[in-house]
Parts: sequence; structure tokens; C-alpha cells
Amino acid sequence: MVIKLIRISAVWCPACLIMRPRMQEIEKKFPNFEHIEYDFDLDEEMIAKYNVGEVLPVFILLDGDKEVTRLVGEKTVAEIENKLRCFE
Amino acid sequence: MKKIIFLILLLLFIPKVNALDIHLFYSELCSTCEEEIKFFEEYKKEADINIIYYETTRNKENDELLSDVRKALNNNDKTVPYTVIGTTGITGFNETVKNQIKAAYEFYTYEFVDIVDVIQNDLDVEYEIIPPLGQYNLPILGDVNPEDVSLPLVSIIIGFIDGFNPCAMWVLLFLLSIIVTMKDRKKMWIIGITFLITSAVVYLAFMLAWLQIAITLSEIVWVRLIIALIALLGGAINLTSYYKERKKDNGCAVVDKEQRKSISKRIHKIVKQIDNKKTFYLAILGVMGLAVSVNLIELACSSGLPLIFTQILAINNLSSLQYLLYILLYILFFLIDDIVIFAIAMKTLKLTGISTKYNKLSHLIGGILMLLIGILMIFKPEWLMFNF
Repeated sequence: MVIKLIRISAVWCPACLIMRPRMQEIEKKFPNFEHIEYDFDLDEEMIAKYNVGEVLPVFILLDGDKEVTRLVGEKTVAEIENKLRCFE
Repeated sequence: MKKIIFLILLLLFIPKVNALDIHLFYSELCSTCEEEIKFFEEYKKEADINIIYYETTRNKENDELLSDVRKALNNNDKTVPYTVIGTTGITGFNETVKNQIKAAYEFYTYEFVDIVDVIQNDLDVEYEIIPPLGQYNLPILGDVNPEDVSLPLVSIIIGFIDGFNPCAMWVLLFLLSIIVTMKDRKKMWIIGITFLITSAVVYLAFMLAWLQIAITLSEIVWVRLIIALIALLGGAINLTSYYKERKKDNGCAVVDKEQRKSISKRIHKIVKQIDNKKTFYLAILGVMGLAVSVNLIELACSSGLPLIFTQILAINNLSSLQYLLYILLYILFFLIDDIVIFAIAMKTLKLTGISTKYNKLSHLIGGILMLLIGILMIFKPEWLMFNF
């Protein structure tokens, strides 16, 4: 089963913009993961099921359809990497 | 303080009659003292001064005199050289002290109390301790007069902290995210700069209006107290917010859906108008309207920082031009994060943000600053005049 990393962000959110280059780095480090990005405003229907809270960005790791972990807000590459290593 | 200003004015009109007595307490064993003695030998050639030396290591009487002088001048230092001019005591010797001695020479041109003379002759005279005047010699910056830099520094710090409040940043990012996709760079610059200038004008108009009120009412104590309470309240709100959020995730709070939709609709309307040559001026008006409404939100969001800043300006009794320049300096630093984000977007056609962890920090620094200003406004408003 492919592990999916879903990132939910918005153009108006500075923290989401800060995370962009960091996530590019993560994508390179974890090529086996499926990386999906949703826009908080444009992909409203797609993200409805993920129950996004009051803070952006949100990173959700899915094993199939099952959520295995979630990170919220601005994170360092190392913080995300540490989480993802457990599911590699 | 008024006395000091009066005395400074006096020195402009009354010429020096006698050589100025400068008392130098020094030690034979101290190399810094030697440097100061050399300085005085040179300085004597250009200034009408009379140096009286007191060796304090071998001479007990001089040492006791030094203790008495220090006590009279509320000076708790233990080291020499210690220079005394009138009722001004200066510890140590360096470039700053040189400037302070020169400033004292310019200052003591009227009838003044010589504290060493008072103690030596056991005179019963009332006197006011005059702190060292003049400039400070700082690395890189050179000679700096604290009176000259305090208000600009306060303008920069408060403006910068105010600019970090995130209430309006999301609108600028929203606007930029759409205009960076436009092909016409010239129009992109016009739209962005219009947004920033309008933001500055709204803030300027508000601050000038409040300044007028503050100047008119600055003499009324209860008005100052109300502003002080606003500062204390703002400080408490900021610190509470920092305390609550310090361990939470750094990120963007989701903006209300209706608000997002409304702003998005307005921006898309503007973009449509930009594309058409005939309606471009409507787009400009639309951006101006957007900036006005956003900055009104920002004003409400700023915990009263512009209000407090204009009150500080009013206390300082400046000229109209100085008021304007300080407010413009405040606004420049208030907008600096927006300007940086806009410039990067225009240069790279990519959006960038400022880490949200700085928002937390701005709450902490802003909170402490506001509490401090509030306390000073109540107990020591004269300190906010920054006349050191």
C-alpha cells in the first residue's frame, strides 16, 4: 500500500508559503510516498473529510485511506522527516 | 528638565568669565587616569579650564573627599578616574567621556554650584545634580547623542512590532497570489504599490488625526492616564496571547470563511478590471478601497500601538515637520514586512511568507514594551521625552 502525504495549505497563509521549499525537500527525500497538495479554498470538497482545524498548514499521512499521523502548522524538515521515517 | 533647557539657553547668551574648574580624582597606579591627564593637557590649549588634580591612592584626604563627592552626587562607582565639573560627575575615561567633558564645558558657563568647593568649604548650598551630557561614542556608529536617537529608535521598534500583527497580511498575500500570475509586470507593480501607498496613507491619516487630539489634550492628566491604561491593557492582551500560544503549533489561524469569500470576490473583480485598459483606473480604485478596509481592520488589530506612539510624540513637544517624519518612519517600519514580501514576489514571481513564530515573539516584545510605556506614562511621563 502506498503511503500518501497530504498537505493542506492556502495562498494567504505565510506559514504555508514558508513550508513550500521545505516540502520540496521532503518530496525528494521520500520519493516512495505519494505527495498530494490541496488548497484550503479551492479544494473545499476534497478536504472536508479530513476535518481540518483552525490552523494551517496541515500534513496528514495516510496508509491507504487510514490516517496514521498528522502534523499541524509550521514545521522544520527534520520534524517532518522524523515522523515520516516511522512509515517508510 | 525645564531648568536644564533654560540653562542651555542661557549658555548661548552669557559668555564665560572665569576658567572652568575641573576636578580630576585619579590614581598614580591607573593607566586610564594617565590617558585622561594627557587629554586635559591637550584640551587646556583650546578650552579655558583649570584642572585640579586629586591623587587618591596615596593621599587619604583626597580619597575621603572623593567619597564625599560621590555621596553628594549619588554615585556608587568605586573606580577612578572620576571627573567632577560643577555638579556633574563622570566615571572612567574614553571617547564618550571626552565628549561628556566637552559638553560640560559648554554647559557650565553661568553661575553654578561647584560640588567639590561646597564639600571642601562645608557650604550650605542647594544644588541639582546634572547628569553627564553629550554624545556617546559607539562602535561603527561613532558619536551618538541618545537624545537624537531615542525617538527614531522608538518609532522604528514600535512600528516594526505593530507591522507583525497578522490581521491584514493574508489580504496582501491573497492579492499577490493573483497578480503574480499576470503577464504585465508594469501593472503588477502599479497595483502592488497602490496597495502599499494607500495602506501608508490610511495609517498616516489616522495617526495625524490622533496626534492632533493628543497634542490638544496632552496637558490633561486623565487623558494621559486613559492612554496609559490602554497601553497596559494592550500589553496584558499581548502577553496573555503569547503565554497561551507559546507552546501551540506555529501556523496561520484560519480566516473566517465569509471574510475570505468577500475579499476573494473583490480581488477577482479587480483583476478583471486590470485586464481591460478602459477599466484599469477602476482596478486602481478597487485596490485603494481594499487597502483602506484592510488597514482599518489592522488598526483595530494593533492593540493601540499607533495610539500610544502618537501620545509619546505629543509628550515630546516637537515641530510639525518632526511629528510628520517620526510618523513616516513608524509607518515605513510598520510596512517593512509587506514591502519585503511584495518586492520578493515582484522579483521572483513567487510568494513568500514570514515565519509565524515571529508573530509570537512580537506579542512578547510588544506586550513588554506596552506595559513599560503604560507604567512610564503614569509614573514617569518625563522619561518618555527621552532627554537623558
